[in-house]
Amino acid sequence: MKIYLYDGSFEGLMCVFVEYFKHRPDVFDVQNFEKFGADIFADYQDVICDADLAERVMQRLKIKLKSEILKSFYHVFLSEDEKREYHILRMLAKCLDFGVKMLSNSADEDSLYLSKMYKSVHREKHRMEAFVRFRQMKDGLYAAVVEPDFNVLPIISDHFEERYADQFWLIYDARRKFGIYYNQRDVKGVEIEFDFEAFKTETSWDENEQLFQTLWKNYFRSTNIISRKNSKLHVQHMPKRYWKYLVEKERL
Amino acid sequence: MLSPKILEKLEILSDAAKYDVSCSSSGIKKSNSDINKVKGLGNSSGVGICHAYSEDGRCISLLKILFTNYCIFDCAYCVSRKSNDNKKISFTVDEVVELTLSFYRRNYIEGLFLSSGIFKNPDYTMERLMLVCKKLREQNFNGYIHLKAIPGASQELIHQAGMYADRMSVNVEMPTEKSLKLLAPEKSMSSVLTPMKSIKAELISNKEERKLFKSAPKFAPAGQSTQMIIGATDENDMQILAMSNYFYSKMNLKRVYYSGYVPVLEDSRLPALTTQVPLLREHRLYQADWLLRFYNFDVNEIVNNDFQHLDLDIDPKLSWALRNPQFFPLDINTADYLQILRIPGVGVKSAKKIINSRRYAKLNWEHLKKFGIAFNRAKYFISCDSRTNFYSVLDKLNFRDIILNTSSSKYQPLLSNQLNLFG
Repeated sequence: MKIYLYDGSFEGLMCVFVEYFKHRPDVFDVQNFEKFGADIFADYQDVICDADLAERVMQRLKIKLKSEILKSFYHVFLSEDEKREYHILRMLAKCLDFGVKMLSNSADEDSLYLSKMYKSVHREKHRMEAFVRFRQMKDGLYAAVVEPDFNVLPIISDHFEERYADQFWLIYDARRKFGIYYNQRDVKGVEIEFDFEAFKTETSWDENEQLFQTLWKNYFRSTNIISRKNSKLHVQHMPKRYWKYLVEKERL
Repeated sequence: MLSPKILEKLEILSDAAKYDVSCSSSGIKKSNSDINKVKGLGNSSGVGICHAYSEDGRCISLLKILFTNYCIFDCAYCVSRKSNDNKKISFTVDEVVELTLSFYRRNYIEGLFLSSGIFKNPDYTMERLMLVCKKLREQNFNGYIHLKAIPGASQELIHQAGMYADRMSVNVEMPTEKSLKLLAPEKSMSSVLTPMKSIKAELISNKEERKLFKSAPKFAPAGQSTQMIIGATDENDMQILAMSNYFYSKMNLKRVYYSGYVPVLEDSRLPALTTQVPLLREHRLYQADWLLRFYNFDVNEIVNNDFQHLDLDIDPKLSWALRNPQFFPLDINTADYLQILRIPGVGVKSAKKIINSRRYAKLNWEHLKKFGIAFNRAKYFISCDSRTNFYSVLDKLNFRDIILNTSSSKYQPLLSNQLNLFG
């Protein structure tokens, strides 16, 4: 079996696509060269990430498929699912051969995988737009920590940039150890050592922060109608794994 | 700076506002900078975001509060009624503004839902609400604002408020004049419908104006909605849905909300305090409402003189299908979109998937299962490219029982509970 090895970036995958599209092997797989398990029967090929080539491929795809659709492939890529590269390459080839209408054929294996995965990533993106909780620090910075199931910070940044245009903010992904930081002009990716203790301690907060957290917790409690209690639905919408960083789920 | 009393105020005035079920923040796309042409705070993405869910499973999208719980009216169903001797308190305009902005900046909420008891008189109250919106917008706040129109307030104030708010609503509360007279003696159907009509008129004239002047400011761009309390009085579902149908077709309302009555006050005109909230009935009404708005059903197909109450055991679409077996089975590979929408267990998304995919292949059961249809319910009403068929059961007299026995409702616990109460 043909196995392409690449650096795990979306640009890298675009370069793999060039190789795949040339030869079209029926049976193949794509693996990150940091993680692959050596298989003596496999035919390995290293694909070096060439940023210029990747850029040209993406420009070409944007014209052929429209940028909206290329974006949806990118969203699927952020799922970090181990089958994603395989289905993305196959579907990209099909779209180039027969047009983007191939995506709407839910009876096709790749199309179904992509639409399901896109939905999952999109749900996580939407959840993060909802579950980020900023705390205002002494220096005015609004900081938040999250641990999303998928790597969605790159695709939520536009939303937060547009919405909180007049404040300084930082959203940090504790699982992937990087954050996005906005300085009232643009958003930058930052790799930093995040100080959780300081983030959680009142003394590093703005003087009003504690009051607003208390108000929010009170509001969360008093807006609840006890005689309509529905814990199942509550947990379904706010799964427990997200509670760790939700202010309203902390004790009063 | 907020006064120390703010904690108590928020507690009382959010507790009093929570029986209003609307929480929607959707239906309006607005970028940050729309208002004063500078990048300020907030936007609306069009889809609406639920930032949290309370333990009753309801979405928390907006900061939902009353401006005050003083009220000159004495509506039996309302916690804020005049004769209730609970603590009465009031926010100031600046407090509401600061709370909204501070919650919004922390990504707790999508915006503000502001309602109020009526203190002094309707105009005085409406003016306070309008001022809150005005101040928020003056501070470059572009988040969502849902405002209650106070019945009896002047047209001029409603017009002004609508220029700042995204959505305006007037709650009809009771589905019929009779119930309104019984429980809210100071109100009448016309006192509710009058502001609703003036909002409708404003919306229409604003639309016309914007055709001529693209830059004309928008009036309540997310439209208007209303709410009916379910189960406080003895209306049947036919009466309730007829009212909804009227609101959708004659008043151009975006949403009608149904609020299962939560007994909070002892009153001989109301169900006893121990009565359960009619959650299942409320749920069935919402399903019927969806059939009206997204599935092209006529209200008479859902409820009519021979069938005045929605079936609690099964959803209204399945219920309609059981009453109209001659419509089925439908061939999934040839039926048109509107027909497919009528198959129990097939939603809007699955219907679209079916239409889109059948151009490439004849669809069989395997395809349909992968599309995410509710197979156990839908299979009896469908024929497809497969030798296995289930529709022969359709003609059997005990078809309803077969369906009930082979599919388990997630509302089963709720159902047996409510049946025990009444049966």
